Amino acid sequence: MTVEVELKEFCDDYPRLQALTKEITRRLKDEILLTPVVKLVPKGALPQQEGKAVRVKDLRKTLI
Amino acid sequence: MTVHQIAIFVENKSGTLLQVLDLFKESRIQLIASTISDTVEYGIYRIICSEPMRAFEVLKSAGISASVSEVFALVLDNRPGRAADALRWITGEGIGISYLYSFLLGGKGILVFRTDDAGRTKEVIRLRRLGVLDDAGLLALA
Repeated sequence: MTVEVELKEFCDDYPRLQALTKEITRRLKDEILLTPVVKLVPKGALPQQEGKAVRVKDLRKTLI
Repeated sequence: MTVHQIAIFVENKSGTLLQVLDLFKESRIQLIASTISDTVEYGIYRIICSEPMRAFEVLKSAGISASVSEVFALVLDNRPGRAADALRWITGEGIGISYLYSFLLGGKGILVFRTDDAGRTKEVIRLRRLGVLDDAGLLALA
């Protein structure tokens, strides 16, 4: 499971970005009991949804 | 005692770097030096340019994630060993180097770096009488 996280503000400090990624991963794991792959994306990268938010995409292939 | 550096968050997909360079081209901003460091997921593109504050505004207006920070830019004689000597004086004081890159400009070696202790770094620079550039000095050499 990949979770994309949009950075509100960018700082060019790798240790901070890595620590942020780790912290988000840890908190998500605590909540959902799965360890996601957290991917940082720049501000504005995630599409703004009108109406009902689409936050989860099921990318599994269906076997028929 | 410092120069302004732009850092840009670059997703690891094609097109982002070119978009940045095209923006600079359209805005007639001169690139002086740049370096990119990357992980699997993303990269950080660091730029020294002719007009850092205007470059930052251009990038921001285009919706690109960027930041401006101050870094040290030492001016060294273009001879082997100068960088090693300078770095030894700084790290010898227990100061950590966060990142570093270098280039030649106006016949001089320019060492750009950030440390984990800017205050003490400035003291070392003063004590050792190391040549440093500010934005105006950098532009004068370019």
